[in-house]
Amino acid sequence: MFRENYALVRAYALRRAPRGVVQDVVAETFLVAWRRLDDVPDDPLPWLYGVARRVLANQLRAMHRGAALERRLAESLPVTGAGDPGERIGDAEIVRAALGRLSDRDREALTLVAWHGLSGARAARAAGCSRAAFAVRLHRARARLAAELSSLETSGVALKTDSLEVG
Amino acid sequence: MRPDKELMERLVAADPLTDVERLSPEERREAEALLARLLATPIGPSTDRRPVRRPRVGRSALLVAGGAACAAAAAVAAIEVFDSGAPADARIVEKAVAAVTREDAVYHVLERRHATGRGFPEAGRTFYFESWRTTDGRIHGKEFAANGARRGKLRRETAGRLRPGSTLGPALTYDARRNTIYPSGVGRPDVGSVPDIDPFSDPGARLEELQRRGQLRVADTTRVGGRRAYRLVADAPSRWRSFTYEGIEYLVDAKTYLPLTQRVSVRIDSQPRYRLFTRYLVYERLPLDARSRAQLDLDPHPGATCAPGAAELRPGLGPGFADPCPP
Repeated sequence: MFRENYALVRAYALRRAPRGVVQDVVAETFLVAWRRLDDVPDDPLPWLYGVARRVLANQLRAMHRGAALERRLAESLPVTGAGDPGERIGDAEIVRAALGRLSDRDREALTLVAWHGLSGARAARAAGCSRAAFAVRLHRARARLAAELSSLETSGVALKTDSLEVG
Repeated sequence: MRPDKELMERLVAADPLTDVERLSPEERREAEALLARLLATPIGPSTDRRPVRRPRVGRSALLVAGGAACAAAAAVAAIEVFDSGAPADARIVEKAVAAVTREDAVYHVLERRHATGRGFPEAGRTFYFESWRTTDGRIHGKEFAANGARRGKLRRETAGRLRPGSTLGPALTYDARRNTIYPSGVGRPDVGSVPDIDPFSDPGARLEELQRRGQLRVADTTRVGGRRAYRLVADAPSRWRSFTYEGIEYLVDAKTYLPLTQRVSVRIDSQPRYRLFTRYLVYERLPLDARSRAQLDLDPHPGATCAPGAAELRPGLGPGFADPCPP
């Protein structure tokens, strides 16, 4: 279980937390799994993501979550301020910025499917809700992401400035 | 393209991480150090020997240490943070060996075996074997043919006693096809035959021997039929008489430490490799009492013929062995 899932759990943490705490989150997640081996289902990955999410929430709460998460999102943005001010911000950056404006729950639903490649059923297990509830959550998250994207795409220059200020 | 689909594709393309399953050498070292640390942690609920936790900062500092320093820190953590005694691997191995070598028990085992290897007589065959045994050498086993995925007809049944320190001993065998009880032997000699197809080979004895040689290690944890299991491996080739064991693996239940599977890869001189996979469908420890002792005898076969020598052999089996061939 450890060797099959270590890199994936680590990637889960890397996408959500500053590098400085990633190893702590991964270690704590597998320590929880180790202590609760009887609770780990046959398909452990969604369960591990669920544990990692809670561990991460605790970690981020301790270090003023909002600021840290925004820093993390900003870390993934290029330092465009040092280059050509007219350079177009890539689509990926816009999407990530839009994602950063969503609630934790919306962001989690979208990334479990898009970045972690989970099916609806497995993503629901990772999110700790029923499959039907997850489908509704994902649907609403998509709508909100589309709205944020639309808003950002009409103010590309402002995005660049905002992102740099956050980072 | 549907807007939803297009949106999700943009989101996929915005993933800041690529090739997430590939770890750098340093990340691999971190992973191995963490695994070592976990294996040094007592398993089970947090109320059961919960590790002594140091303040968060200290533990974090240990975990983020990189490379060789991280491995060293993890080794220190195993001792300091988790307040353990002997190394966890050794404890697991000890428990696994102890679980199958208790003197106050009769071990009841139902196993399904499948062998592969060109040129070996049992290759390609699946059969079931049910046995009752004690650590002092008493053994009663029944071999069944496979009937699809289930146990089929009884083929033969053997009850006997292994000589101390030997893989052989006197026994009586009931041949179901001939409905006859023969004097025979239990175990199998090491004369160019296949070692592990011997249905009387004892996981307890093998695990104990591997432990004594220091060859058994805990590779990882896994699941077998919904049960959590430790993978114990002896991957260094080891010689036993004319056989070279190239790999031996046991999966043992993480709660009871009793075997769940056995996988053996053997080469006999220059012959092709022979592999045996055993799934233990039942592996239980019965208290040693009159009822369980009775399971060590040959079953009654009222209409069976007793071949010459069968009745004479019985005294050699020792006291407490029921006579299947009364005068």
